[in-house]
Amino acid sequence: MITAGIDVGSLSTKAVIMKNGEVLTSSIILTTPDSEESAKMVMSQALNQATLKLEDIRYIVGTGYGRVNIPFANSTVTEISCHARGAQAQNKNVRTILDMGGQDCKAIRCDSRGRVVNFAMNDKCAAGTGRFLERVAAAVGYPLDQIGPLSLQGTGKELQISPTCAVFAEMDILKLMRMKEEIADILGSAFESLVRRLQGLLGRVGVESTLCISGGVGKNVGIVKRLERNLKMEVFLPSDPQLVGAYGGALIGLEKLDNQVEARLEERRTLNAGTA
Amino acid sequence: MCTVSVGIDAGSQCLKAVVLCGGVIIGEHMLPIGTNAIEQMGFVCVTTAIEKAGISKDAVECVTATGVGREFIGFANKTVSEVLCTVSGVDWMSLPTDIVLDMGSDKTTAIKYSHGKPTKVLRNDRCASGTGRFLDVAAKPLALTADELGELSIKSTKQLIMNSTCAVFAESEVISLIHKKEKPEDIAKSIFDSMASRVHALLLKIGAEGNIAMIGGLAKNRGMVKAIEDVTGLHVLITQAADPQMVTALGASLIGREQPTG
Repeated sequence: MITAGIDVGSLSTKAVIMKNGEVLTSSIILTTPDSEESAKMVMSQALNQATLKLEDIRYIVGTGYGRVNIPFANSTVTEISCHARGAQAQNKNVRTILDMGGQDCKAIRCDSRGRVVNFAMNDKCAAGTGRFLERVAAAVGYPLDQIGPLSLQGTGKELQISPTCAVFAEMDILKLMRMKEEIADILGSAFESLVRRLQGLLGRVGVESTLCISGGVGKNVGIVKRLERNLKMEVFLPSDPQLVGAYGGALIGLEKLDNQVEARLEERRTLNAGTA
Repeated sequence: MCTVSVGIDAGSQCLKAVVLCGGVIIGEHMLPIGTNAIEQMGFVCVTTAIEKAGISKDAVECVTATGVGREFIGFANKTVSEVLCTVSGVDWMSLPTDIVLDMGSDKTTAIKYSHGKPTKVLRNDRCASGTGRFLDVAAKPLALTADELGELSIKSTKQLIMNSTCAVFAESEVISLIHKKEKPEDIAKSIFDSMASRVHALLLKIGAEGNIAMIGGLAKNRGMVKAIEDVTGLHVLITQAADPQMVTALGASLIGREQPTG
């Protein structure tokens, strides 16, 4: 049975199509100001890649903050549930997930079946989110995918960068650049501040190994390595951390289909038992 | 007591200098720091204020520096904290209130004062929301100056609620409001309302009632002042006797006048 998960995030929209739990294809696009349009676009792209039609998909789960605007979804599920399910399915030992998205960060605790047990969120403040990283990259003049590796090449010099506010941090970065500090050191200090904030968030739910990192910010090796070092534990990084939510959604879709099939079979059994 | 006293307020964005002679403001100048050295710009700012005052440099008896960059003003005779200078300047204004709100570019401060001395100080300097920086970042998609935004917001007829307190998120919200074809004047008003809400929290904590005095660059922005009055229900008093952005520098010059050194 073919199912799909669509995760409409604040910065990117993701789609995963799977057949009986195995991924067929996936797609990521930048979210446009119209979330319904974004969902349609990413679905269409994924369908083209898999040479499928919308009707071929038996169950579509919508998630992400834009989930309410996906008219073709069969149901919507919170991204917390989708991330927990998606992470735990990729590594059975996962009990804690740190989801670092475009505009929010979540710390999620789950059980051995990927059900959410506790969570904490920061969605009030850009510090620690993908949006902040975009601004950091623009401030230092490097592409977003290079600032992670670059941050690991510094001298370890600790520079003063606001740990509480992305806007002030950006100003601090510009000032340090004018003072001709090494970009690698500037990035290193900025990420150190960011990681300490994330540790605070994790502290609110407690970290139980294995910790999984999901969300687009998980693609930043500078942040991942610093988290590992500060938490003194190895971290599970999925092959594409950004797709974990959509992946979890597609799996939940499969479960719901199985439940529907089971429910119909049960109905039939009851009917048959009644008429026998 | 010195007759000709200069006060300089080295803020994070701008330098403000006031020349006081016999208790009267005879010259003033404001200069953005930009990417230059504070000491150098401070010197230019003070020299220009003195020129505008039409007096010779030698007539200046004391220079008092305040503001976040005061330690960089090497040529000052003494440095004094911003809170003391603000209260000194506001006291001079003799407005019927005991609370002053200073909205700067990077921080917002509420001070309760009595008999020319601060009695309570509350500050927001850890988060850009409620500061001039919020306006710069959130309103960027509208591509207007702060003054233009202020004038525009006064024409607003529809209340839009901005959900984000963070400037970075507010910018995204503004983009989506533009996309939803909301009017620019209503979007501008929602930005000022959001800043006013943040300031409201500070004012409630300090126990503001009735009238408050307001100083700092944003005090000159009609949209900001109206939003504060709309959101808090308080009456905002702005001095006519001096430029609201120069009040802290004025306070520094008044303190220097009484006590030139030490």
